[in-house]
Amino acid sequence: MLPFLVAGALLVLACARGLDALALGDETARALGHRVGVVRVCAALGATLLVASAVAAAGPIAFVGLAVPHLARRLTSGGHRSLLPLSALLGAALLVAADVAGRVVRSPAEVPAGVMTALVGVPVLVVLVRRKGTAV
Amino acid sequence: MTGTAQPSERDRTTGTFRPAGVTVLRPHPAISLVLHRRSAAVAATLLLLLAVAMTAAACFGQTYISPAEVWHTLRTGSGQYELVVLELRVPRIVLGALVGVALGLAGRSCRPSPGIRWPVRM
Repeated sequence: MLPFLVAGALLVLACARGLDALALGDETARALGHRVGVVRVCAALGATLLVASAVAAAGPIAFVGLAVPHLARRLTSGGHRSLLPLSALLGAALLVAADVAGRVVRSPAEVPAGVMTALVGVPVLVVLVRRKGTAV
Repeated sequence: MTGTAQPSERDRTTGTFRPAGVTVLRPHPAISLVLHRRSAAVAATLLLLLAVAMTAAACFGQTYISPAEVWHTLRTGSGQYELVVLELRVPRIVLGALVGVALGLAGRSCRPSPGIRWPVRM
């Protein structure tokens, strides 16, 4: 699984500047010299590889990919070259913490990590969706 | 990207202008690293949280193992808890961290800044 994960991560990190430009809209991104189609395909392909290897290794883990980017966005004002590594760190910390919590709350029984992340992720998502003027 | 716009700052060593909130590191005349100060602080905090979570993950489970014993097992590769720490908990921690990294990165690359269109059309 590891080679796919590394390939996906490199692909996504490589198009960080492109994602910054894309956030301004297609025409502006094109005017800044970015190939919009290439950036989109790279971002989507990288994300696909990452999610595929994650699911293959650990099964379905809900809401990490949904909640973490929004939390990272609140934590810093930097562009994607800051946001992507921070999202990665936050995702890792959250998932390891969720795994521990899942083992502790109903000890000796185990709550799957995917359920624990959903418990954290759903309230975050509800707050984000209810907040007006913010795209999800 | 969010928050109020700030004026650019003049770089003290070169006299050129840089965006606010950024420090330029020059370990070598040919190398310059642009460091976003706030992001670096957040990253340091998250690394600390990750270390705490990993330590907790190594200690808690069906049997509690104290951090000192976990450290001893990791260092020497043997002892009473060798099987539990090295065969069960450490692989699970590494796997959890890697999967978390993958999901965080994937989520971010499919998500725009607030109020702006999605980079990847769904």
